[in-house]
Amino acid sequence: MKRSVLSSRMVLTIAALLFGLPFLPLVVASFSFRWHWPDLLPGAWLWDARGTTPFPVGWDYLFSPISGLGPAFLNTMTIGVATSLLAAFIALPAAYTLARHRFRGKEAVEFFLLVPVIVPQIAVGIGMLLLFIRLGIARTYTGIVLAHLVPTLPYSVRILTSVFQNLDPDYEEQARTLGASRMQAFRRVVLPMVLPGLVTALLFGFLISANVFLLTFLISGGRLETLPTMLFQFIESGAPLDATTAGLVLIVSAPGLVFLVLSDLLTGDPVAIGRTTLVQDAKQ
Amino acid sequence: MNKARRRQLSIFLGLAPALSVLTVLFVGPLALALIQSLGYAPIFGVREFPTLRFYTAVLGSTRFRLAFWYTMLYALVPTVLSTIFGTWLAVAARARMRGVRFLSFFVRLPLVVPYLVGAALVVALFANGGLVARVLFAVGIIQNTGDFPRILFSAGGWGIMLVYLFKQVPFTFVVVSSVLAGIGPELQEAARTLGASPWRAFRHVVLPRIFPGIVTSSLLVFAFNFQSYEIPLLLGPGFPGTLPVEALRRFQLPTIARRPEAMAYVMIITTLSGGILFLYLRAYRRWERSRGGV
Amino acid sequence: MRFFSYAGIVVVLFVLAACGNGSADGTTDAVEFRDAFLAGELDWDAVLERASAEGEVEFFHWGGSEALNNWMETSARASIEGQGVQLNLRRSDTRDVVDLILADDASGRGLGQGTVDVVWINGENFRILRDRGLLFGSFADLLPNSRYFFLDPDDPRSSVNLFDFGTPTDGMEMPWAAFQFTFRVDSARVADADIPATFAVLEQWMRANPGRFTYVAPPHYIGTTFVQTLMYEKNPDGTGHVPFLADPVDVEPAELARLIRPAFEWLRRVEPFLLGGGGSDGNPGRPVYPATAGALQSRFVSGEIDFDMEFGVYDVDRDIRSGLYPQTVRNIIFPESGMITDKSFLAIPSNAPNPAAALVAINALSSPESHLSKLVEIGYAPGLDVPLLDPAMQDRFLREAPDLGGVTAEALAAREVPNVNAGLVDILDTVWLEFIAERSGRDFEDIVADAWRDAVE
Repeated sequence: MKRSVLSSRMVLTIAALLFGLPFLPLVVASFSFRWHWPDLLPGAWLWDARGTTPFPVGWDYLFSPISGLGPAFLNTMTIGVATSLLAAFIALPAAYTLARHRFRGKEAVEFFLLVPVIVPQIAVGIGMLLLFIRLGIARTYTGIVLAHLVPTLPYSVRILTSVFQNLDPDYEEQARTLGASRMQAFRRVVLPMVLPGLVTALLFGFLISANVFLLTFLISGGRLETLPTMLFQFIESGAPLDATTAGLVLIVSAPGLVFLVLSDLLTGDPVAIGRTTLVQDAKQ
Repeated sequence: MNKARRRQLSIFLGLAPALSVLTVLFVGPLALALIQSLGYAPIFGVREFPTLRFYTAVLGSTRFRLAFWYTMLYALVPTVLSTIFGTWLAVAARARMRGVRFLSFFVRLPLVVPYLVGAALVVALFANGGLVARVLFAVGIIQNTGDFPRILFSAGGWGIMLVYLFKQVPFTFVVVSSVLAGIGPELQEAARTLGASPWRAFRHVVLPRIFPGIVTSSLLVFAFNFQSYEIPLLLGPGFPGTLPVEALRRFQLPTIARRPEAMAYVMIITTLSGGILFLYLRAYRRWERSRGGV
Repeated sequence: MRFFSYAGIVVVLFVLAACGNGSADGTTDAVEFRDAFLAGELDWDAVLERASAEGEVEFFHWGGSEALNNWMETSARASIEGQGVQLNLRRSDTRDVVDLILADDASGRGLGQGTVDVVWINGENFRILRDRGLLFGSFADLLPNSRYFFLDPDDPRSSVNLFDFGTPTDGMEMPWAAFQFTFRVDSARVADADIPATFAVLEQWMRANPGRFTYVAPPHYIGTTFVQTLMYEKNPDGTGHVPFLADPVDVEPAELARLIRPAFEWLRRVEPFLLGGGGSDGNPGRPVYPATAGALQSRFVSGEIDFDMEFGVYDVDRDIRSGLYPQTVRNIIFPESGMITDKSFLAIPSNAPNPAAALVAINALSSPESHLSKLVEIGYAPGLDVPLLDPAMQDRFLREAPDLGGVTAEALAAREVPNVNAGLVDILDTVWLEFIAERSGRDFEDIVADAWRDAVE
């Protein structure tokens, strides 16, 4: 048994290196000024070049008002929080129903709730843009939040459904037999038990929203920049190991990093996201 | 009100918000796309409803055929690989040992960053003038950038698939880990005590129990890869693009009267992905039922 | 399934809502303002007054250049907001801006009600808006700063301001910047003696150095311009750009195919020697055609290819100073047969929400000071005509211009040639996609004929 633990550690260590280490060169690149082929380290650093460039570069550019990083960051946060709250609010009753009831057409409903995840966002996005213009909400926060609901809602429903499935209905039954109303049973018994799952659903909804590129790109029409749409422009035109792109990548990664630390601390469970994304109750 | 009616009502009320929101936001745009693809698109100056000519134009093109096969390739290969490696990693990391939390933090890092971050990392490392090529050049293995295998911007799509793997091995890892955490190590250890080899213990005791998790994660992974737009656009060969890339290209056609072709693409992609998902789920349900029957 | 019939009703309602017919005229006072201004009945103070009442201007420009973003945020903002108008900068791909304008129009938004006030534009994008009547009107010579531009149709020097890819501008867009298509090499990698003067010589170099050259894939404008440049040299009649200025409606497809065939045969012949092309070992490989100018530049600075190409003669100086290029990069004079030069413009759509503010913003960006700062700070050659400035200003434009990166202004000027007709661009892109990217085995004449029919109809 001891040997297998050792090799497990090795496997995991290698994996940790594979997935964590690639960020290191970007940290170096973000402080570089010139890093051209075939140099293994930058030929010049940001602090050497300050003042000689026609406009601020690298971190200086990102943190200047010109880059638009501040508004993009705020937009991403605002839209992400609004989307995840709204999605959870709408998903909650549906998830409860799906977890508790069997009914005709359930499979069709489940299927319908799943389809938005795999239909190309491009498919929804173009028609949605035309609709939203008509409704006067294209290129507004409202429009983007509503657009983000499409990829987020299916996950929220799924996460919360599995939360309710894992919840033993006996507790609720007991509360009901002890005289609690349906509403009371839900609020006093069910809700506290699903709260960790709900928090995870909110965090996950936020992450999805913060990662959406195409729908934001289409609906915002260049009017509202978020971190992904901003990063897209840089990757599209950036060289490998370009300082500004590297810096932006690190900034774009920051919310996820915070999320990871938070969810570890909150749930004490490194795989909480996974547990709650299951369609099927794994215990069966 | 009788009990059955009340139950029906509560089912209806429970589902109504989610279903109506998705109907408006999701079915509405698709219906618009359908109508435009059939020739009613005054916005593009097209009023010949109903016509199938936009569909025949799309389906008859080499471009579509190639785009379809490359979309399948870029979607399937990472799905299979990330399912295998992610599951393996989850099983390997399961041994109770110190440092799992710390190490798994790095494995989970890709999960929480946008795909675009993965694209930036792959470019920095695996471009022909990227860091890996520079190291190989420095130690004399390659003489110039052309000797480095072409990972980005090639039809092989290695760059695209690397980004997917970067994100999806951790995803599978997390999903499978969570299922594993639910079943506890006792069964497997019991099987081992009874003389089963590690592989047999995994195959007959662990695998059947984590299978639902594997189905779920692979389904989501495939679904995402099939519809991904920005990664194939940024790291693909340009021609052929994947189906979503081609769809948006059609939408940006300078010949505005041909833009309903984009809508035809959209409807075809929707049908394809919906069909694949449906078949996959149905196959899984059948398998599940047959297992339940034993 | 009760649910689905419910869904059906919602869908029908929404589709009906979205398909309403567009082309509303707009708010009454905005339309009255437009008509009075275009008729020359308003003095500039009235425009300024209305502009400050409108309060802001929605300015859309391509956002892929840090240099330009910086200049827009600093210099452009200062000069526009100095006129009492708040500048809202929107970075977006030009094609997407055109789509925005189209979508606004389709949903019935007219003047005073749309999204876009000013857009940086040229070529086919301008032509789309012009053909669909989605431009504000002929405003250029009504701006006070129009005196710095040749706009008199009878003066031959005006043609570069009055024609945009062969499309008459009719003063519906204001020249903003001038660009010449230049190739660059890294002199650390390509010796001066190896710098080609013609595509024929370039082909020899490519055969000797397989995998060290590629170009941007059309329909990106850099790729299309590369193909155009090649067509001028390979014109079988030796008449350079001349036959390509005609509107393709007036050219027989067979004649067009004859004119462009040598260029496309060259493109196919060199494929094995392009980046990723596999060399002459019989394996054709699949050449890498970067999708954007930025992607091509990335391949160049990361040492994969030895030639870069872009619009803008001052880029080399700017990009060396900003650390993007190695210090050894230089412009080259290539090809001898002509280096395409064009202008890009500022236009106002017909559904601009703030038309007066748009006019004020464009006028502010048309001043000699604004064009000078754009030239000095980010190396955009002026869109105005320097000979019309006072001598002191002319002198500043001459003295303060950035370094030309290894070539002379005379050599560049001697090779200036215009762009092809805008109507030809789509045809070239379509032909390239089928003949080169798809490697179609169809007869070249048929490919051209189909592309021609698509574009002309």
